[in-house]
Amino acid sequence: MNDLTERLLSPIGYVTVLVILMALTVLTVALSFVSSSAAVHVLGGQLIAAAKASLVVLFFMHVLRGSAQTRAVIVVTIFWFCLLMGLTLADYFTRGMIPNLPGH
Amino acid sequence: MSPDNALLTDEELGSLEHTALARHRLEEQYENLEQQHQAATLGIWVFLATEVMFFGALFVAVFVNRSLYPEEFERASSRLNWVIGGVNTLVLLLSSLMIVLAVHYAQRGIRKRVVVFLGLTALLGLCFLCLKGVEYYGDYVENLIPGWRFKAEEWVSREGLRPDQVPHVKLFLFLYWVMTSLHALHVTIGICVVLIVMILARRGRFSAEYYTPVDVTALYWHFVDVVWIFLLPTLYLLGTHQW
Repeated sequence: MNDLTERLLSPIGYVTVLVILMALTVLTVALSFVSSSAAVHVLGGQLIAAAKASLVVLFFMHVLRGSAQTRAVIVVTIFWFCLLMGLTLADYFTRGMIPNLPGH
Repeated sequence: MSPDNALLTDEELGSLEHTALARHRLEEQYENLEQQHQAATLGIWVFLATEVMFFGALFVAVFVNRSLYPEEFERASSRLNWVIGGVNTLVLLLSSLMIVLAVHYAQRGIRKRVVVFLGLTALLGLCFLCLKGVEYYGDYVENLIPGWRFKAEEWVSREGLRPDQVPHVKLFLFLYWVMTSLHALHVTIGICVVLIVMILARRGRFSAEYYTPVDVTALYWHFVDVVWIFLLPTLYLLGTHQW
């Protein structure tokens, strides 16, 4: 039997994680009923989604007690995705800052 | 060795299957099954990384265009069916629990429970797709399909937008249809793979020593769930809702 199996969650543990995930889902939807600025909706929604995704990755996908290789792949993926998003947004958000130049 | 072994319990089978059956599963280039499992796990994670970039680009498109056209995106988002979207999230989360329990029992070599939980995963996946179908039909009725069923004058008269803002509404709806259809395609592929692995499990192909296909399938399924976790606030919850 795989050594890792001794250290992972029990079925009750997994059910507990699910209950937390479902509660966070309800919270995400409830947040959209609060009339406030767009930043609260968008940012709040994404932060809660990130928390839920972290729970799924760490517990359901067994990354918490998983190998260093897996963690390395995840870290590198996040880095490359941040590059994709960061550079794209940097392009769009700085358009119009330098008027009347070709390509701008 | 017959896969049925009707005289043995699942636990007894689990303890016996570590010999000939386990050796049969070991590929030539690996020293032991543990190393083979680690290689397979690395492989699926690298594939999931490519999928993150695949969906990620679409998410960036939503973020960029939402910042450029906030009013149009919020109005269009509020017309989507957040109830079905929310319920679908709960359905997928429950299906993730089912498949994680399938892996849990696969690690212990309890075949019957692996089959049951994989079956429940596929069933919940089908439930997700049915709800999606209902939602898509509702979107069709509400004229939310740019290029097919879309009435620009509705958005001007009902939603109070200017005519020059309507193309941005279509942009949001286009992104909604592409992202949710792509995700639904991934769910469909996931269901097929889960069913195949369930049939293999029923035939006794896995044991406590070798359950790699179950593990790898579960990782794919969890990824599909994580994508939906992010899709919900990004598409359905951009604007403010009223009861």
